[in-house]
Amino acid sequence: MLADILFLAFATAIILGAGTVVLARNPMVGVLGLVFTFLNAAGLFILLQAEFLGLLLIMVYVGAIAVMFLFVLMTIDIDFVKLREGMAAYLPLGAVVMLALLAELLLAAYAAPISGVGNPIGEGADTSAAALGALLFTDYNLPFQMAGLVLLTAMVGAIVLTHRRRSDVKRQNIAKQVLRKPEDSMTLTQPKVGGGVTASHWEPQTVEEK
Amino acid sequence: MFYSITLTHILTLSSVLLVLGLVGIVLNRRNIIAILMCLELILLSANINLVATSHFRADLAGHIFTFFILTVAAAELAIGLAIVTLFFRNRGDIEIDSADRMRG
Amino acid sequence: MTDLTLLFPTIFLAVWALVLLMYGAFGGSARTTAAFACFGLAMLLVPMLTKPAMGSAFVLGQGALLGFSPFTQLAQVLLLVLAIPVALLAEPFFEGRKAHRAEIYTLMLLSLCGMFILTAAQDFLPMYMGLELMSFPLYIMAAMLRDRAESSEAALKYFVLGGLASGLLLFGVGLVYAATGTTQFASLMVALGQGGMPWPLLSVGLALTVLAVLFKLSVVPFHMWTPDVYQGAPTPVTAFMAALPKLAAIVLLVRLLEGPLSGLQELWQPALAVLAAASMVVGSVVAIRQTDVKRLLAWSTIANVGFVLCGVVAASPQGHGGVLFYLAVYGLTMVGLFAVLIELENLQEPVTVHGLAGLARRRPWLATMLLMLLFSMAGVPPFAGFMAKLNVFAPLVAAGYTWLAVVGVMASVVAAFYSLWLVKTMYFDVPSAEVAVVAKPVQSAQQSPLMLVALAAVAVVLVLGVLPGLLSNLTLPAATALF
Repeated sequence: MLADILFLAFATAIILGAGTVVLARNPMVGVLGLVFTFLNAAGLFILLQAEFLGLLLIMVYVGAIAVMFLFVLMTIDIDFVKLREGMAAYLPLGAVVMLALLAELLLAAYAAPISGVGNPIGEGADTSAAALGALLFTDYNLPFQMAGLVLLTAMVGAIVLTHRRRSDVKRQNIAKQVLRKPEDSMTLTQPKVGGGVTASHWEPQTVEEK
Repeated sequence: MFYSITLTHILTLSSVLLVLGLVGIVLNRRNIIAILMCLELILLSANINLVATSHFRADLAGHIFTFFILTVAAAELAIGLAIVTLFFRNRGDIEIDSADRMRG
Repeated sequence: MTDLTLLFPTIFLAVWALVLLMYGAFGGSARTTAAFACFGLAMLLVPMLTKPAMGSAFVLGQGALLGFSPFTQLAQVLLLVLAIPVALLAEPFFEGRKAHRAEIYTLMLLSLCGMFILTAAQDFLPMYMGLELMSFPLYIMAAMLRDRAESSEAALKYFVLGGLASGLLLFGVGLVYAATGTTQFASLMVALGQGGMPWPLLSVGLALTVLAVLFKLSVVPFHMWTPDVYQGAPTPVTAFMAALPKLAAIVLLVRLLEGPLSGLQELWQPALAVLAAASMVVGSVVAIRQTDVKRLLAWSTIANVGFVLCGVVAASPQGHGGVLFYLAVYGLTMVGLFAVLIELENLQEPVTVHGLAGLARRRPWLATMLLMLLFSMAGVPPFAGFMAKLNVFAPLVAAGYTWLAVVGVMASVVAAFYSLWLVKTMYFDVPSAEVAVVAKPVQSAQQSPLMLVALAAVAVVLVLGVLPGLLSNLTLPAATALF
């Protein structure tokens, strides 16, 4: 009974949070709605005996994804009020289509009882991180390795797309500094009286573009 | 554990969440950040489906699937936000409606 | 334990991608990275052709995560053969725009690795991972021209719609899992094989899953991203997107439909027939109005995917063999066309339909190659495009879908019209004054691999047009093994 009440509470909170994301005037509020949604979803996961996934959801979504959103929102400077204009124009058509879709999904869910669902995970069943890990490193080793490749792709992509080598910033090349010898930068000359000096070692440097 | 809640109820929740995400994409057509957040809602609805089924069928395959979706979602968002940053640098705004250099 | 030799090509691609990444990171130039990438791909062809891998990898319960059949094997070889010329296109394009970076080859190889997994997936989990590993590098590569607004705009559109499609795919997989308790193709086939209509939850789930694949294929109701993305993305990336993911996605679609969904043939056959007809008609008709050549090719891709779906609808070994044949020929033609387009862009010729006026007089060689590739695309007899269309329409008539074949032939006539119109523009129209001024004088482009790629495409298209048996003797047995 307690589980039922908790489910209803989490479900209501998830819907409210998602509603905030959809309707928020300020995207900052939207991000907070997202965090709220995911915290409650984590609660739901734990209720469904997916403790590890629940905690992972908090770590990945609240810890990484929400922060990433906030970071981008802070970096780019936009007039968010302007972005809300014209929202009402899409509302009627969107509402009709989406209600139809929802009705269809619910019809599908309620049309027939789902067969073979009657033995929920028992009280003492092992759904811990250890059980998941045992599967991940044996049967599901292939997708695990692929996940590594996907993350590598994301890393390469983010760097390739956004990293810029700026030419207006001075950089220090420590190896070059250490290897520099007095002879490279200093010439001793004995100019004749009235003859003047030309620096023989010095050449005008050009900024290397890469 | 649950007294009267069944898999159907949880599927109802995830369907509502999916539709909310889709509505968000339609309504916030101009704001790319909001669209990305709505995509995350859609992924969450799929995750709820998988975890709930896992619970009611006493099968860990759904947990494994969710684990991978979480990983991929983080990677996807990193790429998405990198593209958004690039788009903002080039255009000075993030209105996807104004992304109309190409027509035909 | 899994026999990892089955996975050798996939593992090799991943490792080679890492090697290229390290090489580029520690000072290797993009130019030599390109050479290494092509070398690796060419080397990989040797074991794939001499030691075809068959069997299942990562066996799990009733099924497995991956399964290698002759169909998968041939598809992977074709992917590899198409990837080599595409990799050659990148250097001449990006070098001139000061955006040539070693990472693009890493991304290409990672995407190819995802396609290899996708073509072999026997479970929704590797299918999803393969789909994402294929798509993510595409999003990044589309934005590779960082200073061009069109490029990042194309990437953004592709990303958002691709993310939406994979979200719907996952929701569909969740429903299938809820209804049957499995994510494996083999167990799903058992569950569906019990006959009768599948219960509603399962059918909605399966529909959403197939929808995501159709999105990657840009079949008509899900095609809206294609023209914008093709036009905005850097041209070699467009060539990559046009040739490779389409092949991988259709192999997956065929394996889904002939595997777990084979019991539902009377449901998906008419639905796909309608989508195929819509794609052919919309793609061909809208292509006529286009002024930008890249955009025109995007609409032509949509039409071509419709033609390919005709072979899928036939649901016979001949039909699926025709699908592979069509996609190989189409992919190669596209790569050749894009090679010529890049050469034109590099020569600062305008790549619009009107800009091509009088091209035959200015650059006779380029115009000739463009002519042959366009003729092949239109399905004019001595070229391979004709045999490709024949190979999908004949099984379609045999399967009783004569109306679809008639629609297809009519759409090909429309498609032939715009191809011939382009040829007419190149050969008989007089260029407008500003085009003549802008275009650089004729110069030799000997060093560039572009001409090599275009020539190879023309040669293969001619040879396969005269001797289609060279390829169809491979595709038919591979497709027969599906049944």
